[in-house]
Amino acid sequence: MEVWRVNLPEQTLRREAVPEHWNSLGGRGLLAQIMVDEVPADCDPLGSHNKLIFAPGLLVGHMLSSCDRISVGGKSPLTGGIKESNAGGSTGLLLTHLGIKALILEGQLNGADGLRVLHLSVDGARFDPAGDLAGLGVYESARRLAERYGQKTAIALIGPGGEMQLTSAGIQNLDKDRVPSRINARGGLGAVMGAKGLKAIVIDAAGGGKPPVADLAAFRAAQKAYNQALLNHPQTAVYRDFGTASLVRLCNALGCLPTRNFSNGQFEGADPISGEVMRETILRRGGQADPSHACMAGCVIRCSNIFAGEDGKSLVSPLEYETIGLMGSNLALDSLDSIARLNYEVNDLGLDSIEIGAALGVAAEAGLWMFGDGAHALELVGEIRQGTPLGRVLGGGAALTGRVLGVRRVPVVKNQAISAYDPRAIKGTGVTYATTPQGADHTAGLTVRAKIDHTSPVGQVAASRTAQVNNAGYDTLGACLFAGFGFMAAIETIRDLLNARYGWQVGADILQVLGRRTISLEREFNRRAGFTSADDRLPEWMREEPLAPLNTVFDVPEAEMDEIYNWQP
Amino acid sequence: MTITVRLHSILLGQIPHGAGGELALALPDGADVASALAALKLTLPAEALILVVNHRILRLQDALHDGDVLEVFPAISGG
Repeated sequence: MEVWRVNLPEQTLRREAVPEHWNSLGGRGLLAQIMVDEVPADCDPLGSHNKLIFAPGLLVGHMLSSCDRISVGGKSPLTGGIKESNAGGSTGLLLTHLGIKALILEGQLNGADGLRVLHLSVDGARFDPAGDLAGLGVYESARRLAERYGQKTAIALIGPGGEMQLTSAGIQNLDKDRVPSRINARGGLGAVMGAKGLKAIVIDAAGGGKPPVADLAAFRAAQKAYNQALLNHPQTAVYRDFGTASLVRLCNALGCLPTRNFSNGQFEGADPISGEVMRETILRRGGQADPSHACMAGCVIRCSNIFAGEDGKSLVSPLEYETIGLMGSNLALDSLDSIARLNYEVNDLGLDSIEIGAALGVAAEAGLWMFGDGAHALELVGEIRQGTPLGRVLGGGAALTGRVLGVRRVPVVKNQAISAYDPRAIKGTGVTYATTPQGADHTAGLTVRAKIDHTSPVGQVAASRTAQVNNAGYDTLGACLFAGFGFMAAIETIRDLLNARYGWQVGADILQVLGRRTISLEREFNRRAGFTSADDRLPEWMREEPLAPLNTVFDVPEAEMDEIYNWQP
Repeated sequence: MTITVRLHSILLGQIPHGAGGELALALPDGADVASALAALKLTLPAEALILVVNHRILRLQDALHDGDVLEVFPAISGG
């Protein structure tokens, strides 16, 4: 495996050996190491000193179920700190087939040359003009790129949001059916790519191949044990049949479903937007609609879906819990069709549906539109496409929208929107939102599965620490978080897969070793960027304003949260 | 006493079709969550379930009360 280092101003590629201390990392952990080693923490995220890094996880490249994720990172223009955002699809897989352990994009293209496509193949890197794609939505851009470069390529691209350098812009990757909806959504990495002058990265792995495996028999044996654990696990059936939307009823029952800009934890219209109703709707409508869909080749969970309209034509794929939470209940929209249309538009603009949902909630709170008016919400998203001042404010995310519109109830940490678990009713996840170096992000350490009293302040730091360390480990492996329940049922397979793949001799605690190392590196970058414990806090109003129906506030002691990364027992 | 049980997602298939996922369950006064689960005869073991009454997660030994609505979810890691 190699490091491919692209100098954007010179439009050149250097292929380098992997530095020794990077070898044992991949994905999120490798990003953190590269950021600490190479990126000045005080740099302008949208300037030439920031780097945009693509790093497949340690287990990527073998179509191991749910383990081909691509981590993308850099300094976030949204949080001002380190950012890693990972996605499924085919980008990670094909990067490894070119032998790429990390793709590092440095500097910026000369703006006068117009937008460019970076094309990667066994022949190296090439820059092609992409002026014809300027301002074009993600779906049409992906279609044209596939026509131009072939149907076997992987593509990572940005939409108009990234081109406008909006801080809620993400980077979108093709799923196994070539739909560009696997999104490195969080933290504004699409704006970083836009600032670098790139519309898309096309990866053509023809002539490449799977990464080497030191002990193929041992790898296959571990793969079989892991697959079996995954297939036998009851969660696989839940995600396959009901998708992540199965969280809607659970979170509503627990009183943590964001409703009307996080002013309530229960939504009277939750049932029509639940996973159960979604499944019924998908099965009834037929056509392109599909309740069980894999985003990555080889995934046996298939938690994704295709949500279609009455005519059976796809409205959006996938429709996920976080989007339903932030663009449904949070906006008082009780129609899956309305949410799906908003979701499609936001995807086409290349934006983070969590961040835009939160921004729209704040805008409704400010009286800019009425909660529940789906047509008006769609018009506001249209303002983003037009690039109007209001549209750019919304595209800047919830924190910016709150500041401009004078709203105090803004659900963000480190300027990044809180996802679909109100932390006053799931307090361990609140600890994660507050303390993770990534800014508010459930994927950094969700605790809803923990069988604890989520409303008590007791035990939440420990629950969050466990989840954060494990998740940082999975992100470093390139494993989907849902691979986690399979791995947890056959924990030795992580060790065995890594040892077989690399010829290592790591122990059974390797997941935690990787997770702790990753978080420590991320915190070091943020420390250099000026972050202190004062940044590791939920918004003050969440400690003061009780959340119905439980009427709880966030009351985990700050001193306890400040000890969360003290790894000593 | 009688409680209402609401089953969700893959558990829906474990009760008679058309019940809409909801059923009434008669239990002895003071019965706990474990006895409710024993009566339901679900295929998933208790450790694979999340049990909620009044927005709070219950333990197997917690007592139920007449009129309670017991929500039964397959445990999931999140979305």
